[in-house]
Amino acid sequence: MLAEDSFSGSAESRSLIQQMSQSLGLLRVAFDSTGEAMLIVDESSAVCWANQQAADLWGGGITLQMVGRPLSTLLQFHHLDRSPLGDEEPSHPLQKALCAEGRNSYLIQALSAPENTQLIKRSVSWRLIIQMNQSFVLLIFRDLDPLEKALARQRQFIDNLAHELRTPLAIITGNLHRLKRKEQFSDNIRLSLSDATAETQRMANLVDNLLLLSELDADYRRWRLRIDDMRTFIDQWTTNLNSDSRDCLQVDVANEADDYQVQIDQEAFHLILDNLLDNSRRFCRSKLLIQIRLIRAESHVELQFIDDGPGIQNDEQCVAVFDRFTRIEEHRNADMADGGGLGLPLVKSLMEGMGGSACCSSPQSLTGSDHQGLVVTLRFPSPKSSTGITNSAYR
Amino acid sequence: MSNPWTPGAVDALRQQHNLPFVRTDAQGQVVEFNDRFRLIYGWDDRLVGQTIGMILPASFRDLHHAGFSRFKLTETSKLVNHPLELATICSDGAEIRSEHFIVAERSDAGGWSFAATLRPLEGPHAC
Repeated sequence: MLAEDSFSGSAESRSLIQQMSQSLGLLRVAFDSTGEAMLIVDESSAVCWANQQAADLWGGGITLQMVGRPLSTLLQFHHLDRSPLGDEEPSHPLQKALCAEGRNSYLIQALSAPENTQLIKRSVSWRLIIQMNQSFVLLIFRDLDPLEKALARQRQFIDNLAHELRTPLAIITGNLHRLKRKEQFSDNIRLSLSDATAETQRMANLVDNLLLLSELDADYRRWRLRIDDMRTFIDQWTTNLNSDSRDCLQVDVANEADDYQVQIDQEAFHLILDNLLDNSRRFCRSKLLIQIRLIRAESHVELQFIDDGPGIQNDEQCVAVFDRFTRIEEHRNADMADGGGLGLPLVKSLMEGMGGSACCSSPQSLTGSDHQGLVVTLRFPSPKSSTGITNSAYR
Repeated sequence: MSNPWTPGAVDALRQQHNLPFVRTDAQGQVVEFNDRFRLIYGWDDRLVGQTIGMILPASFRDLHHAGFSRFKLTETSKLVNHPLELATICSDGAEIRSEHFIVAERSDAGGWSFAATLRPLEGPHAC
């Protein structure tokens, strides 16, 4: 409006305003025509913009009626198991948006019509927008397309299958242990029983990993994110390790004075490190030596997990190790049970689920040293409280 | 919104002397308002020629301008012919929660005219 005032009087300016007005109208038409519901909320979680789809779902059809109202009075997010998601929970889209942009599936209840208790499933993506020193969150709600629904059914099938396999595998393992305790078997039979036990255990791990991957693929995992110093999370992990594993670890912090605050799911973090340790143990033939190096970057905390194994020699393999069921042939160790090729893919999926990333490289490419081994770099986004935007801004 | 631009809709609102009334041209600039509007919201003749966005809270203006521009392109709106509860800004900056009833009407020459009655829902003139 100020612009209109200052421009008034000039035919050229009026024409410019008309053009801008038309562009604005076209943008509005475009946003209202999309099948996705869109909302922008401000720092106090109040809606400051909505498109028509959002208004149809949660604003009685009138976008203006949504403006200024807290998001929590318009809609309620639920986990996929139908339990309600609190505004303060770290897995709430507005809380997750403080760390990084991302996407997840939720069940959503409209609160504008209290009699309507129906939950609709939507894929929700979030993005933090900083505009003129103010932060906003753009939320986009998308219905699943037929292909995604088919994939979800397929994942559900894998999920069911894995659950069904767990019980018979547990029974087989139990019986094998019982047989091994019998004294009348020859050494050859005992060896066969040990092999069978190891293979059964590998299959059980495979099923567990498949189940977890399926859970991650289908966005069914209940993330329990919390903010703490990365060094604390590492300490908690090492406490649970046996002394042999602890002895092979060395934790180096680039600068003790730096802020290493991260927002992560502790259980997922432990699984990630367990998998990395297992992976290193599988390929390192001599005494294992693991270095965990922490580096603070501008927008993230980097954890480098460095072993002294054979490493990976080319970029293609560095990417391929994160593909499911991929093994590097030359690294296979006949003395160890095969890992199944799901460890590193699981690490990657868990990292991505927490808004981070995982990649592989060699120590040579990282430091230029001739040190042999594998470096897995995990990047954890810093909570916005560590980069100037506080969590409380959205409370 | 079966017939959002009923002929005579603007005049029908104008006749409701007990309610504040305001009308804008196709550009959304105020062209007239009644004494009731002047009394309750405190605006004077200087409002004429200004955008109607002046009487809306700042947080609503983006959507208002976009919606107005959209209407000119599509000639459809869900706001028209429905009672809408919105805050209205007085000349002194105070806000009065009001029920807006907006109508649109196209003249024989094809130009649009928009008008609204505003029923104050709080304060000394609440009705």
